[in-house]
Amino acid sequence: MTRLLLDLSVNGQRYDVDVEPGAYLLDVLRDRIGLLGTKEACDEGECGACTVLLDGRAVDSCIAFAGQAAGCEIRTVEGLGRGRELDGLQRAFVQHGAVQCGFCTPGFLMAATELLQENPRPTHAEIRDALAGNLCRCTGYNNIVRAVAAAADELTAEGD
Amino acid sequence: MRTDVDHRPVTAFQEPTTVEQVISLHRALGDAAVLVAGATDVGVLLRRHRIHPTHLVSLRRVDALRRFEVDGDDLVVGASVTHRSVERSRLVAGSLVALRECCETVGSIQTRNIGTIGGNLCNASPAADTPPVLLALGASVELAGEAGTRSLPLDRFFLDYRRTALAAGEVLTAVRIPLPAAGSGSAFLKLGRRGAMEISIVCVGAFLSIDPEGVCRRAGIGLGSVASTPIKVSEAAAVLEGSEVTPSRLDEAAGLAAQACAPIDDVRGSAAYRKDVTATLVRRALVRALDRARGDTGVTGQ
Repeated sequence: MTRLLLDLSVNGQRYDVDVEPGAYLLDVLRDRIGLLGTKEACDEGECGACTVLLDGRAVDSCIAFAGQAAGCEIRTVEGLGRGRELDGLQRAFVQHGAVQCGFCTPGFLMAATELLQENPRPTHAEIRDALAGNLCRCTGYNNIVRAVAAAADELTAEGD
Repeated sequence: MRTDVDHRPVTAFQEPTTVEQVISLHRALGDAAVLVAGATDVGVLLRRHRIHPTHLVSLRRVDALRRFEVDGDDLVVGASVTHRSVERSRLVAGSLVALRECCETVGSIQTRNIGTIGGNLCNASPAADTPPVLLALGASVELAGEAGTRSLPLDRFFLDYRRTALAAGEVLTAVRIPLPAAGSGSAFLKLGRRGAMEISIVCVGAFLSIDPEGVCRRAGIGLGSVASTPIKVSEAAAVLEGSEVTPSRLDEAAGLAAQACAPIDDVRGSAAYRKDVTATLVRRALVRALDRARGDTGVTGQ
């Protein structure tokens, strides 16, 4: 089988990888590049745990082929914040108890990142709408919505 | 990396850049190839071993499939235009607003950011969200093959459960939607258990065009999840055309639409329930389209 040679840009860093032609982006990120923040759960684009940004847009990496991501800027949860310093959304998730088991958290953070980039002052309804493709079995969602709202407040306060 | 014993491996990921290249690849490879747009269906089907292609033919570098513009009397939506792009387009406003409404209910934002209109049609699920609206609006599809391009009314594109009129090597390149006259309105309604990531129990697209005298000039009704394909119920729409839209005409159209459907019992709802609820939803969608038609000045967002 001819391997597929890909030049992937993940969190601003270039990775040359050769993968199976039918490889999924999720598996390449985790197993080849070693970025384990992006989670595998449903494997069918239902739960959002594997959400990453492709050119700023949230997608489910479990059903996207790695080949589709070549040439795009890929952003994973490891690309939020700086080193060990958390970004505003991550801090808000911690402060508002939006993390319990934590498995869904990277996906929520990435979906929320797209939301706040597009809509810096979302209503609670808009937050719920933007996160409808992410499932959490622990928190009951309220704390997640509060955390995103708080991060938005903080970001707009910084911007004003 | 994942290894599956019963898995015939994909041996190639190809990225043609023109429609002609896609056609010739598709012809040469036949069933061994599957065209990949957003992969939100293909990616799932492959994971579940429901399809067994050896070649993935990605369409993302084919710029010609990304047209999204008014062309003469039609709105042209290229096959690779994402649901999210449709949702946010200024072109999809006024009397075409149902197109936005149906795209907004597809999957999640993650699905809509990458999933495409062409993919939604070619996947040919009877429960897909966009076909009922496109059928109601009188859309047609453009199919490109070795012999050239042909246009087919969308209701003749769906042949059976997940089966389309695409011939071997043919590619759906765009959807054409006739721009409605002033005084038109459309609506989409979907019945499901939750708002997101939901497969419809029944979904309905409705379109009405009313002239200044109050006479309905054109009506369209499309249904999803009530037959082996999305269906256009022309008999039901026809009773509305040529006269004023009255409550009794609406009842008649809703009844005929329910009669035209042939639903199945499944985990989401019984056939009897689907038939009942179709009448209610069709009436409701028509009333909404009528209200919108009354407020429509014919100015679209272009």
